[in-house]
Amino acid sequence: MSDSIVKVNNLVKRYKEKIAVDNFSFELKQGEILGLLGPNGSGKTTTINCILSLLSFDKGEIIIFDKAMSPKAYDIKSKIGVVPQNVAIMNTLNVYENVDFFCGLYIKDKSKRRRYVEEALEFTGLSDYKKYKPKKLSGGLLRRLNIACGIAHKPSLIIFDEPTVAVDPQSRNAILEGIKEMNRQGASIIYTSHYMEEVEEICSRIIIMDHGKKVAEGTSNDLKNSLKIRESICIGMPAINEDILKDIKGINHVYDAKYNEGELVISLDGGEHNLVHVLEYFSEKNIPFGHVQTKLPTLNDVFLEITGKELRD
Amino acid sequence: MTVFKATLLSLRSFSQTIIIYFLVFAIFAVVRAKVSSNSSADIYKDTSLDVAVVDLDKSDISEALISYLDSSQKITKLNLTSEELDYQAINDNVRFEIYDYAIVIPKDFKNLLLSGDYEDSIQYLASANSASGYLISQKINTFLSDIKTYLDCGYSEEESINISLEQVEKTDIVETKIYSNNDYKSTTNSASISSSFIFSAYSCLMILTVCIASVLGFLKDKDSKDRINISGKSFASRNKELILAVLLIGFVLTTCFFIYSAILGRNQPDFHMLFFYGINEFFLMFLGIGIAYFICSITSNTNLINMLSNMIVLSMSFLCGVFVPSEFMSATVVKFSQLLPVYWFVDCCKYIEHHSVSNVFSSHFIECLLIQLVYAIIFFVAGIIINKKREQYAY
Amino acid sequence: MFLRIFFYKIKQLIRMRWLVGWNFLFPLVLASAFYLGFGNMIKDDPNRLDTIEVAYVAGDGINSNFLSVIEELSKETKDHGKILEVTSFDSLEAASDALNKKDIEGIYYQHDDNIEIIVTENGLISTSLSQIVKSYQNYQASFEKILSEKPEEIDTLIASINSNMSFLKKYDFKSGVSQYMQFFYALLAMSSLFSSWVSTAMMTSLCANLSECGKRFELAPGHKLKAIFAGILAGTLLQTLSNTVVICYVEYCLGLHWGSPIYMVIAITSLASALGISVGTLIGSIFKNELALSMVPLAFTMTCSFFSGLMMGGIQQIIQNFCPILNKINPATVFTDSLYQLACYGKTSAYYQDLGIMVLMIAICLIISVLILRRRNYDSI
Repeated sequence: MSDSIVKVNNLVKRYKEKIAVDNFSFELKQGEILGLLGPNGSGKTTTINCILSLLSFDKGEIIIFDKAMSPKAYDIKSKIGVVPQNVAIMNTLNVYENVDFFCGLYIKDKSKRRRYVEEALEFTGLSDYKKYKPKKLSGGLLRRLNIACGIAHKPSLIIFDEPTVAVDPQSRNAILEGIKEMNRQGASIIYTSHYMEEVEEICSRIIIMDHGKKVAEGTSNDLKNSLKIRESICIGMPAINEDILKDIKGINHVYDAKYNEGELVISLDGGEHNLVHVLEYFSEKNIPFGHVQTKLPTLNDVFLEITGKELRD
Repeated sequence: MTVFKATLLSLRSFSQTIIIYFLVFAIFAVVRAKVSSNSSADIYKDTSLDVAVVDLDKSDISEALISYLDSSQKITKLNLTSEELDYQAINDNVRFEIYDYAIVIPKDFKNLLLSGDYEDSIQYLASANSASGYLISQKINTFLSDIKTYLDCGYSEEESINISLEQVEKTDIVETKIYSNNDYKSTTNSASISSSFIFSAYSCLMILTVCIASVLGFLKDKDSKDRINISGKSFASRNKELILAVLLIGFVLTTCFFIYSAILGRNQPDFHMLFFYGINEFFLMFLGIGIAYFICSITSNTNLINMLSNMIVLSMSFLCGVFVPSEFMSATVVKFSQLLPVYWFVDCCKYIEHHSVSNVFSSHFIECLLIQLVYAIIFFVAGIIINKKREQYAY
Repeated sequence: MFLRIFFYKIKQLIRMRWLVGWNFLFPLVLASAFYLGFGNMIKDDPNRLDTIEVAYVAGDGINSNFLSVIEELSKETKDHGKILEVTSFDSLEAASDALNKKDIEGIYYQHDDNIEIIVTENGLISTSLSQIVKSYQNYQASFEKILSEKPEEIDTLIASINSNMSFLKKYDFKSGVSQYMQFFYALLAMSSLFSSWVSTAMMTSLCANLSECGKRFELAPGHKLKAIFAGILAGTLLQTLSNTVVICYVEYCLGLHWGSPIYMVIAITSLASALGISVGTLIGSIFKNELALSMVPLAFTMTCSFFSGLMMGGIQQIIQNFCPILNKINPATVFTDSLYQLACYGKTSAYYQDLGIMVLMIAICLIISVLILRRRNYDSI
């Protein structure tokens, strides 16, 4: 058996004239957390639905656990867990019943299922809410229930489709920690989101999508290192003249320097301890300055450089 | 006029509901209009019944009998042979009042009559122990007894038949008068335009309650409501637009029913009273809006709205004489139904039917309209109280 | 898995308050309204020939012959019940007063060798009163004719008149069921068809294009059709229970007899419930719009119920006479007809035909649903 859990080759999905997924290919390796990052409407959820055989697709190949995926591939489906974007639970059943019902679709053995359900509730912090109906739960708890229903049967492949939308920071952190723990326990994970901070935090490898296409792939560092601008220094200062600006542009590794409305922004394309060199210059010339901020590149910068727009446009 | 426009646009989702209920009314109103009845009048007229006849004998005596019945009843001759004769099919038609009475003249009836062995030879079907059954049976027995009597007394067959026919023609004239008093009659002539309007009560109220309650329910959605509340529009302005929109919806829907009923009844003798029926119909509209507000204060779930609307409107319609005339109900039920607003709508329709333009505008007419309006207000106030209580408990 | 899903579906359906209200409460409320509205007519047939209270006013002298005729009709004999209740009044004014107060229904006013009838309105009662006078006048005319033309046959005439032989015999199906029970049959039909809402609600949680829950369900391994059939069974059971409550309520609480043994009525109604559930399954397979899923079952149910006689008794018979095929494709009419046939005529071929048609409708709905759902691939969800 190969190392590859999911292999998607040249996936194409059209909705009439609109191409939602455009020759998209990727691979998920055993034990990886693969992040699928992109703005709204980039095709992340469509890709996921195609992988899960919920949607038909026009072209391409999807291999999961070395077998071609299809709606009737029950052996593959039994190893997959999904946490969809929208909360997918039954409002008429309480917390325990919801987890038990969905776990029961995968696990037939009663005692084993009972154990799994208890563990899932424990894992998601819902043990105290077993008898609660969904309408009595807060948004964060609902999301946790959504997760519990998706992972109770201990799948080998888990797909999270934007699980932290509209969730408070505390619950969000708990969810991310839970995902890391599941990965430590052996699950391979596909995590889609348009929040770069989450993807950077938990994903071992990231694919950036836009308009159904892959625009970048690699680890977080790889992607940031691919940028021209490796560091930005923002310094608040009163007006400066062109000579000073020219001098600053002459400092080693300075790629560009711009002054606008009381703030000097220096872009650097590499090097170390760049801030020290800049401040040394200001000190030499007795140039006063105010706040100083160093910014390292983010995935948003990666996206901006590749596509020309913000990740959250 | 954002709230006004939004309210009207929300109605689009219910176009199917409106079409369905209106179609049901349209079809049934036409069917009912074709079923004629002849109950109240100032001049006496014998009740003419629908009689089905199967003549297996086809003799001059059987044809004379049919001819006699045809002179006073509505005869339908069923051309069936003995093999095709299906008593169940005939019985079904009698039970469901397609015919009031049916007779089957057996094959050798003439011979049986002449031989004197005629007892219980003609089979008839009628509703158990019914007045119509008695009436036609009497006529048939009388006519055939005459023929038999004359035959027994030595008259020939042809003479017996002719004498009997002439005799019944002469003796069928009985001086009968209708005693008139000044009270209006509670019965409705279903050929009158009022039967259309009475029948429209169910469909009209259903459409009004379901559509208006659902539209108000959309606007009650917590997020939408909060968003509207924090907008720049004042409370008074928002509600003014909402009321206007609801009234416009009610007016348009009610007008459709009014126009259709008017078209159906354009040839009826009381068509000139259309204006008053219209006023009554529009007061029913207020009642519908009141009930809609009451229902939407309880729930904004479309399914529950449908359920409550059906329960309230359908039950009221049955109890207040919309489907079944109140003359057939027990006195207790009629008294109880006076507590229901639809009763006053139906009563007003009957009142208009039995009065003319010069004397319809009386205290009773105004009373019926005002009671409907009062009930509309009661429902509306109940809705406000329920809303307040729900808001209290929500916090 | 089948049993698990079955029990979970029962739990789910029972906890849907609006569904329980609709399917349990609404038929009971309507049955009560029907009973209040025309329970009277079921127990006391309004067309029944009740004794007519009539006044006799001998204006210018008593007509002993006519009086003896109407007094005869005031007695109960083996041939007829008490047709008239005669009260003599001294004056027409007194009788008119009684007529006005509705103490009597008509007046026979004897004057100028004539019998005048005074009534308050046209109808069967006034026509019956008129017919009595016509019969009397007819016999009188016979007497006069034979006396004048063949006086020797007077004994024959008297014997003939006294023979009292009736030409007519009622063809009696011995059904004790009132025709107004048809409204209750139609109510059961409507209640059964409303179970289509049960199955659309059930389908919503099982189909990926209808809800998030459905997506999660379709992602799971295992045959979906098994789960759907488990849901169908759960829905049918629940609806049967609901209908049984209504049937027992009408029979035992309202005291109205269905016309057939109660277990048979329950069994046939279970079939109708299954039919309603199947129709809902088909609707859930075809439509994916939320509004359509609530409006289509409602429209379907109300239309079928209307044409089975829910609002207007006898409509199905009118359709039967003009276009019988419509009755055969209307599930509500097929159901009401089966109950009607059983109550009035017993287990006839028409009864078995109706049962067969219901089974066929269930099979068709389920087969089409299976064909649609099996290997269904969504183009968009």
